[in-house]
Amino acid sequence: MVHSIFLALQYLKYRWGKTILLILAISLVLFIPMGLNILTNQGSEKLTRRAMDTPLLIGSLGSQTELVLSTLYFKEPKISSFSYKKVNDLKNTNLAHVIPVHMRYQVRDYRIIGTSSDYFTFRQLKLESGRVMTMLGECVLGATVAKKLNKSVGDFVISSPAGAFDVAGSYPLKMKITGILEPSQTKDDEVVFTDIKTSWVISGLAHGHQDVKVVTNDSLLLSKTNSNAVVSPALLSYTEITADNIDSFHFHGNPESFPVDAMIAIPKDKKSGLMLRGRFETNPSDLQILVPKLIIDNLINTVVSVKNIVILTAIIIGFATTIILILVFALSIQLRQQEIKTLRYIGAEKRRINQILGIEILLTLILGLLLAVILSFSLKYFGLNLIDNFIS
Amino acid sequence: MIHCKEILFKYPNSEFKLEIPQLRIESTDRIAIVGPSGSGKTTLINLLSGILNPMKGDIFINNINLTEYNKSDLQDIRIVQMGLIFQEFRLIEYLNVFENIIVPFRINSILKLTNEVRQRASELAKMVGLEDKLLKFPSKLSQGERQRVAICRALIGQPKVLLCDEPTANLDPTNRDNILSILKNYSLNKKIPLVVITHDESILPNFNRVLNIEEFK
Repeated sequence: MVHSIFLALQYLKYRWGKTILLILAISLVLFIPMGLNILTNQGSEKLTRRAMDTPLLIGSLGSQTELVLSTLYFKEPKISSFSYKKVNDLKNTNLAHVIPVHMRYQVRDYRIIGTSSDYFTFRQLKLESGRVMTMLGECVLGATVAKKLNKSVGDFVISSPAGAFDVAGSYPLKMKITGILEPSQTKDDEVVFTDIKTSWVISGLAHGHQDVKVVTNDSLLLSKTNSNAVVSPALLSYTEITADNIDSFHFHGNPESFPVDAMIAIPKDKKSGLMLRGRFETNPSDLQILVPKLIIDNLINTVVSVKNIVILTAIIIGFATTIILILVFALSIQLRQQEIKTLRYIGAEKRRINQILGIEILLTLILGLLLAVILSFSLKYFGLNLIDNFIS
Repeated sequence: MIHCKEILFKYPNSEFKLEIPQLRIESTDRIAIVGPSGSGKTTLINLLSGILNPMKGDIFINNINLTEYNKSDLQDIRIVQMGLIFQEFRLIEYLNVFENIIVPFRINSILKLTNEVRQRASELAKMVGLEDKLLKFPSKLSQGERQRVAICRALIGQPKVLLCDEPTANLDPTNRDNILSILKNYSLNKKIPLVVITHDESILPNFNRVLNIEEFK
């Protein structure tokens, strides 16, 4: 047996090109269904876990899937905003605890989530260092963001302009980092948290500038009445909120009219949840209330259907590949008739020749299977990133 | 010693027929078998080595009657009793020179691969001038070198008979003389019969007997 294994290995080593091709073909045939299964199971688990932790979600009418994916996984929001008044209205019902979410802006590739500090309690996010944001212009970084941007408490991050043509809207705002979160292995690791009011500052709804009453340069004040002052664009606008200039920051308009993208509602009890859902379902409104788990289950069912089609296709391809592999092995043995004849002539036992050929095939199959298992296991580690990218 | 008695062999669906009433090859014989193409020289070697079975008659190799054994037993007899050398060398392409020499010990459980065998393989390689090519593969060797590897493989089992089918046909004169000299010396030293099929009349002086296969017709 040892000699047969030795000779089989020598052949596979000498014909390494053919061997590698066969191993790759076998591993791919096995890996596609195995990997797909692992990926969909992991994806389902990851999606479902976060959805299950979010009892109710409220947002503008439109795509339910977009609303869930945007609010839970911080996908680029393709949903309409609604006014902050709706948040206050909901709070006033006393049926649920409400957490507003605003997510229009970014720091480089990382989304800024304008919310309240209740979000951290709700998601059970713990601070690794520092404290939560308490003042306008402060922010807390998710663990991945802090690592990737190499930032720590006391450093600053600057919000990115919303777009090249948004010259009149959002200003880049320099925000002070007051806390870094512990890794949570969720999407919360990959965002910058700030107070929703700071998000409104970024969107240009609030700003701070030099006090017109104390401006020493007369040319900056173009005209002034009792109720109105027109100033030159040269008047200094602040891009950073500090203890010195925070008092100069003010909102233009009623904050109740300012935008919110979604709100997470945590009902006080089961009955309150049902009542809340009943109110939205019976009273026509421009908002919708969702149970995220139901939306995600629906999405997963679609993914699983697609997965089953892919697995079925993979099985058909696998069947075809198996036939080709049998053909390859048969042709290979045919081409080696001269060698087999030589071994017989010089005294090889027939059993030994069959053993050598069998071991060659077996080793190729085992190596193919091994590679498929390694690839599948590596998916267990790298698959989560793939799922995140897919969601994003 | 080789002894053939009343041999008759025919290929199925062929007119060809080989009859050998009597042939004795002594252990001191170095015999060249000559004859035109298609006269049955290779068939004779295949009969003597047990690769083919005669329809009639007996073939004795050192008093073992080959016709009394089945194919499986004949494999064992061949690997222990005979050293076979072919015109096309028939080396195993995926084994290096050293492994090609000892391959008989890996393909039949009757032979045991020991350190002594490995030592003998090295000595044989040295004897034929291949000691610095032991790790090379057959594709990297010249024709003469390949045939010398084939000779080492035939000799590694310390055969009692050497059967060679045109061993010098593909070689230049220098390599041809070298190969013949190795075979002849081994046969003389070990006192074993050497049977060589050849077309080349210039090599006949190396043998003490020449048998024209046409004599049997």
